Amino acid sequence: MRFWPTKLLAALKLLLRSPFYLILALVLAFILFVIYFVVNDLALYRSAAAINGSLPFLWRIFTNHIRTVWTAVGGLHPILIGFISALGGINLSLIALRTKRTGVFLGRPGILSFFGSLAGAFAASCSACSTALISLLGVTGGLAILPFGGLEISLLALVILLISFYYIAKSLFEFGLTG
Amino acid sequence: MAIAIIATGGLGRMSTAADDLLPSGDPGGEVQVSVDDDPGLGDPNAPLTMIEFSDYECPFCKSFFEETLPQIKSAYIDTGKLRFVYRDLPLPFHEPAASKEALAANCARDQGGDEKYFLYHDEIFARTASNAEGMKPADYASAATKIGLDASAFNSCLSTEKFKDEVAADLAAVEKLTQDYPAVFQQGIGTPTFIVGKSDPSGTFTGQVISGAQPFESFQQVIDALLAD
Repeated sequence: MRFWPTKLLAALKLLLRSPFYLILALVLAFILFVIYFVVNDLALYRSAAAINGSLPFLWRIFTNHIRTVWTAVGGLHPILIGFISALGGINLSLIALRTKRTGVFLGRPGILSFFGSLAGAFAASCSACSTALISLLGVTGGLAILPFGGLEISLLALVILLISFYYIAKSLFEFGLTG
Repeated sequence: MAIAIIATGGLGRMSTAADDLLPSGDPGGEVQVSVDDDPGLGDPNAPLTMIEFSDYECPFCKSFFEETLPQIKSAYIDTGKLRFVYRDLPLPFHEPAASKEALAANCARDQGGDEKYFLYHDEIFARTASNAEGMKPADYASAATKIGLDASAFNSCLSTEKFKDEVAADLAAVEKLTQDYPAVFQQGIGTPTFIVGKSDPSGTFTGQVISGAQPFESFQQVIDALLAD
């Protein structure tokens, strides 16, 4: 644990030096960000698609969704979802890089990344009250009933993903992929 | 790469799993709904009617009130094309403020009809902090006085919960909608939910559902299509 900041930085540098995996991280982060918002408001997107299924219109709905959440429940929510998506993208890309170069498959970091990303999915807000993904678990009222409106789930997801990132960085170091 | 695909595939499966939990159906499907005896804004003979199921403590309803409703009002309500009807859906986790505000708005209507209802409606959304925080206790009477109501009669109406049955009737209507159209309201009815359709003299009409605080363009496309039909 003594040199963990160095290992984390080294892992990030490795990603920055690998254009393919950097782009993969960005694409995965973007996909995660979109998924987090869409799965939390399926009713909104289904309703919007019934009005106009064109991509530009649905993109407009998506950007309006984020803006509405920002103004209605605060900017911290979308910002944290952004961090979760970014960290999820970085982790998944680094796991892919490690798998490609070492042949080592999944393991603890992959499992943690999966659960961190999954937790992140339950943290995103919807643009209507009481229709969030978390409601599917029987939590009536969605994120609104939580003391911090779902920020607690976001923080949990971030912690899990940070732990995952640490293990990925550690394993990259142990495999000699980072210096 | 394989792991990344597996992991993202996992998220893909999560989305599918969410779908699996829900019955299939047409989310933009039409539903039949009544305006009941609820307050309306605009020409009673307008060709189109839009019902909003709303909660005064819902931040997204407040967002709709602040950003989208003014655009709909100037483009369609003030021009006689659309009648806007407000129906109460106070959500349990916004209580007791949500119901109290719904009752207060109905008390305003009791004194001054739909005009006073919507003036009070505007006052509530302007004053509440949302998310169950509600208006300050003094705001109920001061909002009533501001729009020219008799404060004493208003307070009496509010304290006796004169319109409790009226709010309960709206909640019962929502319950019936979810039972009658499970495929349309797969995740239940959140707030705000809108139903837009051609007006019918009976007060019951068939309309398209618009879910959530969507931008003006969504409403515009549905309303313009109905007007052109």
